[in-house]
Amino acid sequence: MAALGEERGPEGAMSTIPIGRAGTVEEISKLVVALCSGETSYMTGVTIDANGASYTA
Amino acid sequence: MRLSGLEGRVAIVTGAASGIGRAVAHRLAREGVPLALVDVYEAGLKELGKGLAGVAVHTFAVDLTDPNEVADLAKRVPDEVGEVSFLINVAGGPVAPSHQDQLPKLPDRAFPIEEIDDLSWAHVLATNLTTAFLVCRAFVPGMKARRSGRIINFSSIAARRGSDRVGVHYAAAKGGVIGLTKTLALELGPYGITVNAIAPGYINTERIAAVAWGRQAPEQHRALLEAIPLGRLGRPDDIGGIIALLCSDAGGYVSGATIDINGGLYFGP
Repeated sequence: MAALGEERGPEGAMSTIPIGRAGTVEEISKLVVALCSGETSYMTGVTIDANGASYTA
Repeated sequence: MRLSGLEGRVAIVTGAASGIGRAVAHRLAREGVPLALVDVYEAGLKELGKGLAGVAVHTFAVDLTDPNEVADLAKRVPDEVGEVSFLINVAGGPVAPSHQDQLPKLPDRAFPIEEIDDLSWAHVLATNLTTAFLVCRAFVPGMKARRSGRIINFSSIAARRGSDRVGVHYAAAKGGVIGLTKTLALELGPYGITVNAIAPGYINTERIAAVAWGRQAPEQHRALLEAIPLGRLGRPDDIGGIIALLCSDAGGYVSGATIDINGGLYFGP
């Protein structure tokens, strides 16, 4: 059995992500830092999908 | 907090003349974002324009339910302000403003379905859903050509869990905004454009405070606050900061999301 992602390769995996690329560590870290700021103080209990629109619940 | 990726990029904010839209304009101005501010409420636009300093501010008195006026706006903004990087569709509400009636009073009670006539259904859908569609349709081609952009639409807690406050027309329109947002996120992802929705809870804008959410009695107001885990109504500024975040580099991989900002009142799928 092929390993997950092996048949399509990395490019194929990216094709399932509408934005067409993997996220970056910088994007997630900046998001986390921003969420620690007072400006997000009325947002609680929320799960923020940061996935390039690969899942839109 | 200063956010990277904002300064010098143009934003268009609809529904900018009051409430949440005005707070978004102020927040983005603090980040050095040139602004195209759009609303049908001309006096509010003028007052807002005077209160913003340090960035280029252009105001456009437009009825966004009119496809011709939106098409004209899409020609004027790039010429007069610059190519749009951030499209913030705040315009909406449970009433239908127009050039003739620019700031209609908000209802102080919910409308049962049998009291919503055909015209009011059509008007509220146009004000909340059609406006978002028309403005997205008008500004997306420019974003696609540049292969970048951020679009933020406004849904509501009324679409997320239903509401006893606003009537089915408003809730249905705001539900439509979520579908528009998700599908546009899939469609525009390959062009490097993110599309998200904000679903505010009870945000205490001046106009809404004037009708007290239809909960004028002290015990009704107390019950509302007790239902909110954070124990307070939201402020327009609570939304402005998150808009800035989503437009910044921090929001680069967030797309197709509906973000609940309601003090913990609701956080479901």
